[in-house]
Amino acid sequence: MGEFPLVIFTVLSQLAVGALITVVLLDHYSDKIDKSLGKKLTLIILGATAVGLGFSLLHLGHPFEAYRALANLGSSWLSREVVLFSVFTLLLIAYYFQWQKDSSNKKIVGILASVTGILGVISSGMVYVLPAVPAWNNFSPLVFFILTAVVLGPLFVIAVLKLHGITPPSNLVGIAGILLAGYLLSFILYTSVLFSSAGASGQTAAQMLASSSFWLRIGLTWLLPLGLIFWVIRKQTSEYKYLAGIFLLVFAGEIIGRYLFYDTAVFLKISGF
Amino acid sequence: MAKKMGFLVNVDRCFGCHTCEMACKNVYQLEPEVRWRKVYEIKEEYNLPERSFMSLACNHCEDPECKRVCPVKAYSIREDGIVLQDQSRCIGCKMCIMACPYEVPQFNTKLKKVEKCHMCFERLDKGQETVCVAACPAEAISTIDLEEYYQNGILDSLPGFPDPDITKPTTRFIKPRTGIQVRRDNNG
Ligand code: SF4
Ligand code: SF4
Repeated sequence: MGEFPLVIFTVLSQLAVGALITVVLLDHYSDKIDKSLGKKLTLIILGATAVGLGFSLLHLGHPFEAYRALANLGSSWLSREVVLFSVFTLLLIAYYFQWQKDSSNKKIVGILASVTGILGVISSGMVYVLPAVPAWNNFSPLVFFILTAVVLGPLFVIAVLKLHGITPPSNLVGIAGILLAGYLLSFILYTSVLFSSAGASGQTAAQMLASSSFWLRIGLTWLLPLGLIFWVIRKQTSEYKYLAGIFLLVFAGEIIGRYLFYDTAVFLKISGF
Repeated sequence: MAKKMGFLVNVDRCFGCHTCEMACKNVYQLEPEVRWRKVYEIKEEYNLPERSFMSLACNHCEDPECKRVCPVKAYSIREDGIVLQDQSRCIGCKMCIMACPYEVPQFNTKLKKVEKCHMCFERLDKGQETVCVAACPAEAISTIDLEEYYQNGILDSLPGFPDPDITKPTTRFIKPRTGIQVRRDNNG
């Protein structure tokens, strides 16, 4: 698993951004999050971001010189990604202190951090929009990275709320389900377009479908969680084990999915295939 | 006018001996797994009785993807169009390896940095030939200034060479000539 550090970094940073947006929205539209839970959630999100960033350094040949990656903001999406996630981390720290102080600026800082986070996820996606990798040279890295954030984030916050004995707002599970179903549809669409293309794109789809983890990924990210969500809504239950289970399934599926993203991409090659 | 240097690869002359590749590797003492120049067999048929090869190194592109994506600005383009990578700046993020359509930048596992062909710019500056050009026994490679050089029938791509529209490589090719083939007539 050559790109393991990048798998962890991208999934964790996207989870963090999605979770922060959920917290900011819940704080605004509901009274589910009190001061101590707000602080705790922010700390967990900060922790996920820090672990992710730590892993991203492992990908470099020279991790201690990572600061120099800020040099090419003019044209390198990697430079932009580094700046945005650094600022995101600082804003998360600020957001934590806003909770601590019960400050009236909390909402503003939360919104600023969310916007920076989304821009960070967008720049992560843009890093992979490369003409040398036809399967990535389109909207897909961007769309799928954002979908990972907006799906994992709410599911994670739902599980943490429930762990603290708070029943999540009744429609939040439904919204997560709809987002997950939308994610599945876009994935099917993308994969079929790839599959019908010639050259490196078609090869990428073929490699992906041939991989032993492909169906595992489909099951973990979509089929099982969608089934569970449907069941949870029908039974009107909100037991912790189900809600946490949904999150863990999707999270595991996303890790495998991201591994496949890196592992099955076919690059342009000299002298054909 | 500023120069625009590029390699001219004569596929009609090249017979695939890999001398250019080895000469480059030898002079620059490259690590075992690294080759700045590589000789590829052209798989698509030219309807020729023999095999054809293209010897490729960095294409010193006019619109290089390596330079666009590198976060530390390790890449620069000289006045004469040669694309240089400053290895002392490289942090080994491998972005350029992913972005170059021609598999040119390579990872040096010892230094944990990337490296690539620099068109022997120090030799060119002294009026000498590049190592590959000097070593080729068939005179199949040369360096040309695209602003001045003109020859009928030189091509900017060959079968199996990724789309030149992406980065605008300065490498040019002379394709193999189809010779006259004499065959015994089947019913004769
Ligand atoms: S061939 Fe690749 S490494 Fe060389 S200049 Fe073009 S994009 Fe950069
Ligand atoms: S591997 Fe080095 S030269 Fe290549 S993009 Fe990264 S920092 Fe730049």
